[in-house]
Amino acid sequence: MTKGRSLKIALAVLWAVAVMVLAGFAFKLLKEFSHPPGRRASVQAPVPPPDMKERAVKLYFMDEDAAGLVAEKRSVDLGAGGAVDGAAIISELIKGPESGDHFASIPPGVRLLSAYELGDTLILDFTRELQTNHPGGSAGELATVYSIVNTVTENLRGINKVQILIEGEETETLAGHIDIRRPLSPDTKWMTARFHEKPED
Amino acid sequence: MKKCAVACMRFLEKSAALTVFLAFGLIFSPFPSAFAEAPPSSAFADERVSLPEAARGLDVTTHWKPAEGKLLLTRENHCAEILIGAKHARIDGHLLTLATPVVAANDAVTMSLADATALFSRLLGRTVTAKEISTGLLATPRIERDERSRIEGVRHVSYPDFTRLVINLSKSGNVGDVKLKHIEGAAALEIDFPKTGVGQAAAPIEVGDRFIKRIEVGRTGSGASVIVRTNVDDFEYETQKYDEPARIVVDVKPAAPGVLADLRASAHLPVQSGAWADQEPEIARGTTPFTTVVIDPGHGGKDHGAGGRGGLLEKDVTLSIALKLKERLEAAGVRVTLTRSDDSFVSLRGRTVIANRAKNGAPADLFISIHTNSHVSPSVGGFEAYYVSDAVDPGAEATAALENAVVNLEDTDGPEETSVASILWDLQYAEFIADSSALAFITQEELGKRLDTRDRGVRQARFIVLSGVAMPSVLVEVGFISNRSEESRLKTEDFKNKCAECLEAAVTTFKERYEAKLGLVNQESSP
Ligand SMILES: [Zn+2]
Repeated sequence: MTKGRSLKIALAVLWAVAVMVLAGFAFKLLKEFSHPPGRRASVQAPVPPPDMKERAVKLYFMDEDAAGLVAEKRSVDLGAGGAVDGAAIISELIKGPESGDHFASIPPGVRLLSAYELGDTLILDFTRELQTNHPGGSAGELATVYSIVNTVTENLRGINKVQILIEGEETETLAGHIDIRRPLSPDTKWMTARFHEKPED
Repeated sequence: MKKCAVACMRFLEKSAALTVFLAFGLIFSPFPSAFAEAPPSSAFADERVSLPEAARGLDVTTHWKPAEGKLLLTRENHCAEILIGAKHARIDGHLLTLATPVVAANDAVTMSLADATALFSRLLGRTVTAKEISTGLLATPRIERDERSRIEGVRHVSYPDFTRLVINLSKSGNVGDVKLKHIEGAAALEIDFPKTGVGQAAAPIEVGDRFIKRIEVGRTGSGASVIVRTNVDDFEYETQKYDEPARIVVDVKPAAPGVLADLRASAHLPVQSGAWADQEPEIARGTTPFTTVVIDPGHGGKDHGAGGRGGLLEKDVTLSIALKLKERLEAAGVRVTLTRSDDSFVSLRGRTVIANRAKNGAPADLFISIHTNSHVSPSVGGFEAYYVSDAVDPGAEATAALENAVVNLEDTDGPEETSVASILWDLQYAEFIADSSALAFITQEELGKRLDTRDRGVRQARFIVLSGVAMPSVLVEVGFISNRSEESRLKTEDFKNKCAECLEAAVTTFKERYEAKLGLVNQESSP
């Protein structure tokens, strides 16, 4: 074995190491890009999505009088399980209402980062725009919070509560009024009397 | 030569494998981060460990919630919530994704060793190695299980007439024989738990309120004791026990003069036997005169609140109305504390702290939070009054969550925050909701008398600022700043004066009713 040969092999090894490390980093970057840290548990569908079916869901939006929530029916592909289904429903809610009489309950620019299921609670992690783009006022804040909570709990079997997170963190309020530090159950008490018991269709 | 090449190739392969391993090591770093993730595949992924045993080895306390299929691991003020069958755990509210689900089989709750290292690293705030967990398992005697109840913590809440202690226990069994006694010749109450352990050794809790100096928790021969050092020799106490979470509640107050009181104070009163109640006793309020009102101008400083299309800001309107209301109430002889008196930012918690200390260090008699509303539709207008919601989940989980909040605050934010959280916790039992409801209806009625905008009615919601104050409270949305015509009204002194006038009238009406009720109580109690 000559000196030149061993040098060549050493170089080859070095090159291989460099390639592997770079590939490793590239993979890590790619991984973080597709699933940023803290959102990894997000909405990856379990292998392979079982029994996906288009289903009718009820989405709650702001009514024209700030008196409660109003429902619109939509078709959403569901069946992948709580968190994935929850994310699909919220994505539809973010799109806003179809009726001209209803108002979007989620401020513009908001994205859902991930959805987690923990027991009977669905944890929804939103981008900061849910706070920063919120116009404020108790009426609007109540509509935002409960359009999310009431929509999710009504459409997902086994989910009774929703915890809203902002970029992975628990938050006191969206706009300075309504307590969202803990998981919320659906509520219609804040609406005017005609919405009590169950929000209207 | 050929041999050498093969050897070299092997070496190359090996280093490549090692590099891949290292690269993966980088990607799936097991070190704790804000959202640590368990290594999905590694040498110890298949090995499973019993969680309660691993916890014991690391001095972490385990609580079972069989009804919810849950296991809580606590260490100091950190808590991990583990759900059987789930692939996520929650640590101090953050989620931890597990590589494999938590399994309960053959009386053991197990988790992969890899997940356990990530979990305990997060819980303990340091890097816990797989080896440490395995060693801990060996070091822990597996058979000798501590089935006794333990004292998990002691909280106190200061009320004008008494101080309440809440002693939390790890489970409700075996606490029926708790004994309370007034230590002879000392200003102290001893609460003896014969068969109970102490969760963690703790420094004495310095209370320093009107009735209690200090609380000391310690171990006795086979049990534990809580010694309450009082300010006066002569005191009375009342005790109740509750479940979910298991706790003993002791109210301590100075003895009322009289033979009966002396007798009661000197007797060795056992804890009341019988079923565990699910509600704490009503707080006896209404025995002090109505003197102090806290006015909370919504938002402020960097928090502008809602904004009008014409540029008017909610924080400016609320402050202006609050200052006008203060002036009016003071002229009428009511003491007023503002949560802010200029354009400064005060946190929501800070506001509740101010309110809960406004009356000589005790909670004020009334809390009014002033806001302006907003809606996407510019045509929506009107005024509304809100009172605190009782839609807070009354279940054990909510209580436990709040208990945790109390512990967290006690350990991190000092005594001020503690009282808020404790009061908040007590509020779950709906003490002030009835009064707050009455106040909201009075307020809405007064607004309706003087404002020509639309009456949108009284509503109930989970306002964070209302749920933290230990007094009847109301939040008023005097108008919609998002509505052009209301925005221009909200700019005028006339409209803001009217708002202040309405709120003053509401306070006066409420005060009169309060005093009437107080008078009635006094008449009835006199022989
Ligand atoms: Zn506001």
